[in-house]
Amino acid sequence: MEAIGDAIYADFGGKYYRIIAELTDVKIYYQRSYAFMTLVEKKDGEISASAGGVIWRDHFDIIKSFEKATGVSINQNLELAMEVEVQFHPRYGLRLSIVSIDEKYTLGKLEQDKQKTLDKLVKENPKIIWLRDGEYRSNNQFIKLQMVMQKIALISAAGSDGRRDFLHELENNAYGLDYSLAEFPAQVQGEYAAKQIAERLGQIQQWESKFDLIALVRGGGGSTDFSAFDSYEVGLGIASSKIPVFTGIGHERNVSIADMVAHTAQKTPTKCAAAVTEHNLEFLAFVQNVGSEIGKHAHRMTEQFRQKTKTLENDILKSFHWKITGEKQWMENSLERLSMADPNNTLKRGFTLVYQNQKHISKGENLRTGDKIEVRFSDKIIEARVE
Amino acid sequence: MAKKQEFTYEVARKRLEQILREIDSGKIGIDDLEKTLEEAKELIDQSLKKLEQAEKIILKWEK
Repeated sequence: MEAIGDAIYADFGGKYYRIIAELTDVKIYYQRSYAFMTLVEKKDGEISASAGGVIWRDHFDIIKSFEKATGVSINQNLELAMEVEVQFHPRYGLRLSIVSIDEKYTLGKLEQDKQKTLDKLVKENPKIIWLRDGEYRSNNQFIKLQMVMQKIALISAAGSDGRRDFLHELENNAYGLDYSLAEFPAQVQGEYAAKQIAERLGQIQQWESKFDLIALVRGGGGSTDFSAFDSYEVGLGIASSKIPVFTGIGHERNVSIADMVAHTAQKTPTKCAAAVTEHNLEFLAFVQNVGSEIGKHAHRMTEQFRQKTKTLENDILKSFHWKITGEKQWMENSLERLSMADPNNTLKRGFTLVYQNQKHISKGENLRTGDKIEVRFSDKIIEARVE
Repeated sequence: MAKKQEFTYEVARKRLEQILREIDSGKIGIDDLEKTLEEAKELIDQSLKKLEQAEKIILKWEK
């Protein structure tokens, strides 16, 4: 066996080969820092070649760095581009020792897969998801948000950091806003995540009128496996939801399909909760503004009314003044006219009044010689006889 | 004895207008003229007093 090992080392030792293969039978021993798997090459869906693979302790950190860079966990059925060295171990036999993984290949493949999913979503659901000016649009994005969003359906993994962060931000908002929350737990990573999330989205639709918003959050824990959020069923579930969906998936690397078709996409659960509060604050500000405007308007009206009343009062007073002045003038004029008619004043000007039998006579035609008359002057009355 | 009618400005004003019309028309003879003039002067005097009272009320209001 050692001779075989030596022969293999002689031929392959220090030589590295780039291969593209799918992983199966993956077993990762984190405590011992090594991993075993089977590497499979396929042609037209059929296995054309396979070999045992291993990642030894001295290259074990490539798993973490790959997962961090791509957001994909090393798992079954994952196709990777790798550099391998052919090794023979007396105990483990012939294996391909993986020394590096091509992250760019995986990222490119992820993008390709995502694009395929998007194309399929658009093609099969043109009235729900469509492409306009290079951006994907969905019905969900055009749902008009309630002025105040208080009733929230939360989809998150039970006990996860993302759920905790979302609730903490929501419940401890600086403005004391109250929320009503119903939780719909779902796995957010792993084989069944996409199916569970889609099911939860479907369940919530049954209570359309009871919720203002669906929050879909994921955060904390491993920074890998966002595949559920790039899946067809979750994308369609969000896009067709009659309730607006806010996402906070903690997906720093790129934008998932879930984010692309959601009503509002935030990077983290905390930001997602903050966005809800910010939206509600707009309404609060609106109400305060309306209140302030009503107050201002009422003040303006009161001031105008006060001004009008004052003007009216002045007009009434002026009118009274004019009336009284006019009346006084009329009285003065009347007095003057009466004075002119006063016979005493006529007498003072040298005229006399003649009386006969104590009656005033203004004509002399009936007087006869010898008649007795009285002549009144301004200062005295004298008796006289007509001659 | 007939109760003396309470003075009102409007009634006084109408009576004065009537007196002036009668004097202008020459219907009042010398014998009644002096009495009528006395009545008219009395009415004017009281009317002016009423107007001054009203003026005081307005001045108070303005203040």
